Amino acid sequence: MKKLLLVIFTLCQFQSLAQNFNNFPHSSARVISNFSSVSADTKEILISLEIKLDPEWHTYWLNPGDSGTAPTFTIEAQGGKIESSDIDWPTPVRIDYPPLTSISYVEKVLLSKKVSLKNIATDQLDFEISAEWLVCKVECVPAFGDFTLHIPVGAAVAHNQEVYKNRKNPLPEDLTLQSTYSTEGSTQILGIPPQGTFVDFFALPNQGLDNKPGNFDVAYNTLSITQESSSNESTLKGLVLYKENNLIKSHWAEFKQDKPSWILFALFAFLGGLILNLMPCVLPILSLKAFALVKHSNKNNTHIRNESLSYSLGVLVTFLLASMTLHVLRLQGEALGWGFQLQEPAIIAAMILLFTTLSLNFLSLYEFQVPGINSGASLTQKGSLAGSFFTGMLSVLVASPCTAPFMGAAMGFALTQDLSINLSIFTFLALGFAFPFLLLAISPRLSRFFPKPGAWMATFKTFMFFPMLLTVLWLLWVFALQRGLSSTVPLALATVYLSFCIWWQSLYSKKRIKLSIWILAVVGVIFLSDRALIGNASTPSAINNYDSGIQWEEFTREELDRAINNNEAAFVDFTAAWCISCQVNEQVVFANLKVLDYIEQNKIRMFKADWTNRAPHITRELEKYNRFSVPLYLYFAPGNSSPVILPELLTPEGFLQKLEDKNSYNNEGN
Amino acid sequence: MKQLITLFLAIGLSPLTFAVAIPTGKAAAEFSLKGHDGKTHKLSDYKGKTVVLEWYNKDCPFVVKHYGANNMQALQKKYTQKDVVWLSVISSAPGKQGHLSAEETKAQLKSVNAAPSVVLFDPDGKVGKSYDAKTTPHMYIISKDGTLVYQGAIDDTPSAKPATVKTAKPLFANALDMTLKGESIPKEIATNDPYGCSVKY
Repeated sequence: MKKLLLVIFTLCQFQSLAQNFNNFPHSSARVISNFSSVSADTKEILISLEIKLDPEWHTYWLNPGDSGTAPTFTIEAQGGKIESSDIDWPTPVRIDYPPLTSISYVEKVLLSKKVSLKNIATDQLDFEISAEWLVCKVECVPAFGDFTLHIPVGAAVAHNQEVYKNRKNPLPEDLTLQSTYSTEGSTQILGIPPQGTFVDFFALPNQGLDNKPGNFDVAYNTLSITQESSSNESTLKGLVLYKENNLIKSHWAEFKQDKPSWILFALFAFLGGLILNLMPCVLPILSLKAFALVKHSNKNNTHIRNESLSYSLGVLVTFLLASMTLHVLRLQGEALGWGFQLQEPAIIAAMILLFTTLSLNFLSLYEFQVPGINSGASLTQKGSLAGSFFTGMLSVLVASPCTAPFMGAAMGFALTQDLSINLSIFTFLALGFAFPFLLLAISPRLSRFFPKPGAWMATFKTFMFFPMLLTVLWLLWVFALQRGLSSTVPLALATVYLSFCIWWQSLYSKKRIKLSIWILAVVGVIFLSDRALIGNASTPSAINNYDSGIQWEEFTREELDRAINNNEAAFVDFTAAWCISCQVNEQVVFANLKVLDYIEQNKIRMFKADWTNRAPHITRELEKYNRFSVPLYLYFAPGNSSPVILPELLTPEGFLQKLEDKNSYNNEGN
Repeated sequence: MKQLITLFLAIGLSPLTFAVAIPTGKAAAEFSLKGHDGKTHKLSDYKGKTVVLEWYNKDCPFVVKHYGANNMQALQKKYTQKDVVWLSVISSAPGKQGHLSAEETKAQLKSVNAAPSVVLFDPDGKVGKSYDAKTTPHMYIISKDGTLVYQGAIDDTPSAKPATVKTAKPLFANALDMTLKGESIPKEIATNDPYGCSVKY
């Protein structure tokens, strides 16, 4: 009988407990529980705020995204102390309003807190719930609601099961995945083992992570997400969404920082340095050095060892100087990167004059006598150690217009670290670059594989004049792009004048230095160079005009953003006139008919970011990808703000393959 | 071995995404915008002064909270007296919420008794996007030497309830006090997530 009464009583309660929705602007809400009545020893119930939203209006997740705020509610109990958990956040959806993102709930959402009950002494629990939530379409309206919930104490009776079961947004699975993340400049790469098909990742707020869609790369099973450089959390947390059997599911994930591996980047630097030897820039100098070694291949091992070591030392010192200079200048806020000295027309001019002088050396007009240093011995030719050291320095200088594969990533790492790591990475770069000679120093016997000295050497030496002359011509072209044609004429005259002075001196005995000629040479060259360098550059950036077939547009961030927002595909070529790798790639790839067709068919907008002259806005753009060097090639699939980076060495096949992969993945993702 | 190669490729050639914001501690981006006074204002005009940027939309409930409680106006008056240049920026596109003409701005300033140095109009959103302004309000502090030293929320309580203004921790005002004293703002405070309505680009 007592039981029957209780049932009737409960049924009555049930009626009164069928909570109605209260209306608010653009939303309605109610508070419910999963129990209509509890027993004295019920340990835990759910108290939930259920919000229904007008069509097109949304409210927010724990991390609202770029704007908005998450709903909150507090629970107070009359007649008993209770403890309630945080909201158990259901899986949200992403709403993008470029450039901003909202992480939201639409239609309806059920936000629950677990409430622990202890020592219930009353016959009814009275809860007062005070809630605040924001609903937005484009504009936002806050809602403040106060609710009461009465739950009698008697027998425990479950309630609202249908509502909980038919919730629109599923709760995350009861699992927190533990993983690691690594940092690359401003980008975090989160390692997520594949589970279903990856859909999205939402970070918890205030971790410095932005809310843009992460770039998920199926091949490596990693998710890369940008993090502002100011933040340095050791653990990142967020919600991973994935699709399984056509259902969206989610689980929490915690990523512990995986410090960037110094060893890996040191290895990259070494490899990059080694490959740099094969890049087109260094070949003239390297062959010059090899020539000097051949000349001495009949000398003893100690000699060869010492030569090779001083060459390597020259390389090392120059790399370390470059590293330190870059580090100090960057600390002062200069936006500079690898090859920065080539952005300075005065240095280009100096290099032009230096290479003119060197090229005449090959015609045996002189023997490069420098009074005071090892008098009588030539600096680059004879067996002087200073000469080898100088050749080492020169090789690095000539190599600076090139970036080898792996080098970009290694330098990107080095330049964002403190000086000691920076120097250590550049040391490995130098070791890789000098490796062929170091090998020779370790085992001088390798020199017996060199061809035997003979009469051919004189011919070879004269022949080397031509690559050197080409180098001078190329530098003049760079200078012309930097300063304009009218400034280049005096500089070209200076090279002729300098050659004339050297020829004049060569008429005299090689031991006798005519001071008058030297003075005339120096004064004339300074006068002409000065003419070349004063005044404003007439054509600050002419690089856009020199190749045909592709309609290049000048790169600006705004124009690129516009292309992305308009769902257009875009390709960005970070290049410089002095960057030989860039020139080679462009000639090989952008003259290829298949490539031109592909670009036209897919209506890819082609942007050229010209780094020939100093351009801080381009340096900043490079930094976003953790690069401080050109070339850098980016491809943005239509409407996708996360580009794919193409390798530093481009081939038409590689280019087409990368773009095709990215486009097909992008289509699937959408 | 295969894994090693994958790792190599992943790091050497991995696709990357990017942050749009100007990192805190770096030079603030130059801009040139029309003000409600009819003049053009450049950031570089104010070199040597501490500059505050406040993203503003008069109809956003979170902006209304701070103006309704007289919080924003009090801050504007307090700091402009200390020689701070306070620039309220409207990045709402024409026809979107919060977009105002110069005349409407004058009336609005009068009606809420606001006292920024000037209100700047950024109808194409260029400046807002270059600063990655996300919400109204979104606060920025630029030090005398042109460095961006703070970007984030006005306080630590993301609510539209007026009562929370008094109980919230004033993150922005604290940061501005530190800047004026020449102290550096702790890293974890100098960049934080703002709250409010989205900027109506």
